[in-house]
Amino acid sequence: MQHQDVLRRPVITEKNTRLMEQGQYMFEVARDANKIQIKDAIERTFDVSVRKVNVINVRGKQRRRARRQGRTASTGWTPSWKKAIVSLQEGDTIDLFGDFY
Amino acid sequence: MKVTVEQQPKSSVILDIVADDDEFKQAVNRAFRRVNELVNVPGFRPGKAPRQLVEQRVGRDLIVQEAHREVMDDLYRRALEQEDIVPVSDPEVDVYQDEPVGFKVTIQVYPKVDLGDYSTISVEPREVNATEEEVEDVIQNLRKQQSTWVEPDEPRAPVEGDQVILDFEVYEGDEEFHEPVVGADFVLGEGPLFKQIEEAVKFLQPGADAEFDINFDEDDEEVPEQIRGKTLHYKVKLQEVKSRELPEVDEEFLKSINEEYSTIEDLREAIRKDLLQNKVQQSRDEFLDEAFEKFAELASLEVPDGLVDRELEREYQQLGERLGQQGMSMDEYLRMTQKTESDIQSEMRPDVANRVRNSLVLEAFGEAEGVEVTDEDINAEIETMVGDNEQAEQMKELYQSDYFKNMLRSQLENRKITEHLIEHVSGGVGAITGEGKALLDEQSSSAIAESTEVEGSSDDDSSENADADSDEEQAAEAESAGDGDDEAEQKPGE
Repeated sequence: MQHQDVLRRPVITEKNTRLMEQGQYMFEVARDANKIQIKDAIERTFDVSVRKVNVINVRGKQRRRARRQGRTASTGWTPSWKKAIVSLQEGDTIDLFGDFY
Repeated sequence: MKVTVEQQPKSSVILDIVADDDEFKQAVNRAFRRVNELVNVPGFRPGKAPRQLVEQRVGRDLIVQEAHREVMDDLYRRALEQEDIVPVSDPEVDVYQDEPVGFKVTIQVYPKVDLGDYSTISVEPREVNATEEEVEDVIQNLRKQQSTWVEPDEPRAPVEGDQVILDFEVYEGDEEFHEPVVGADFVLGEGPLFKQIEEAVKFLQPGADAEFDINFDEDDEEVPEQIRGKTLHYKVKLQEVKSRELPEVDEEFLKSINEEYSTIEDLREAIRKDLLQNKVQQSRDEFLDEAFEKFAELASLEVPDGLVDRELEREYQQLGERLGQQGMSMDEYLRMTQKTESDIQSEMRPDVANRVRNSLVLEAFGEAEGVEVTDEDINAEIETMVGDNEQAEQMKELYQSDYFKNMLRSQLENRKITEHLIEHVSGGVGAITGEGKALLDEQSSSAIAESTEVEGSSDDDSSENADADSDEEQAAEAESAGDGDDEAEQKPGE
């Protein structure tokens, strides 16, 4: 797997902006990427050194869609994905608000 | 805040206002917080998104604009206060700099009137007399008004001053222009008939009819607008001709005008007084107008449009209220007169502008001459107004309110300054000379007599007053009859 394929997008939320303050950044990553590949990809893309990578598999959520009256609702799933929280070496930063996308 | 003031002609000024860096930054911060509450950024609760993200999303401009809105109003107010400016128009605002905000405001301000050396201004007093001819004219009109109509001995074509009874139909092309009129009576030369019709009728014998076209000129001011420039076809039938018989000026005639009149001299005297009264009023207005004109010229006073606009707005509303009292709405009035609001306002405008100018002059003159109305003046005025009315105490109470007192004060001030101004420009002679002056003197002395006479039998007084009123009405009627403009009568072609 090429390193360009590992990172999908940064996850920017209220919670994650607080993590950023302590040098931790959250990304959605390819489901089959491992911590080593993620570390490699981050270091190459943003020119920083990574101290630690935590990964979590996020299970998709069940979604029901209502049908016409009297019929059973059909159920589906939102996609599952993998997220990675990347801790950088002290002093390194990534500007996720920039216009690089 | 930095403010520079630039004086402009027509008593307007341009304020150049620039906010301080610090105060503006704070305003932008506040603006950001407000904007943030409204912006939806996924992953963040409202108001919690980081600034950078919000600016990316909505653009920095929007936040700066929001800051402008907040801060400009306040800046403008403070600038007015700091520079001691009273605006009389809505401000025209031009923003020329964003951060920190800088803008120019053009406003018209209440003019500071410098009257200049007005001691040389003088206005010729108006001489007011009522001549015998004028009195005679009014009597003639009264007679005409009361004249009886008789069939002439021999049937004949009508002449000026005759009453004619007509049927007529009016067509525009093949279309009927309005409902046919049957058996309407007119007095030739005194009624509302168009001249063209009158001329045609003069060729008809009673019972005869005629058909003719009339071309109305585009700019014929004497006919209603909707028929100007049209050609209308008339079918007229003359039913009857009656000649006028003027009543003799005898006792019966006098009684029919007013029960109190027993001799022709009574009538003459009443008419004469009434004529003088009207003329005095008119001449006094003219006199004042001339005086104000001269003052305004000397002071090279330019009345700001904004001030006129405000006054115009007020008077327009008053017009609406007056109509309302007559049970008519403004909209109905506009439909009836076929005018728009702006038509009426532009008609009113010259008069209003004049009044505004006059009141500016008056105000400045009063100030320059130190004319003041004291509380005693006001109380005295209240006493006079209340008089010996039965509810005197209650009325006095009512007049004690600040609202009434202020109103009275400004009225009195106006009157006092006006009197002073008349004294000044006439060299102490007064606005009116001649017989009119005698009338004025008589009235003011009797007014004083009335106000000093607190006790006494008020019954006699009031009955006398009522008579005086009816005299006036009679004479006024006589005058309007003389104009020959009886609006109640039907006007053909309308």
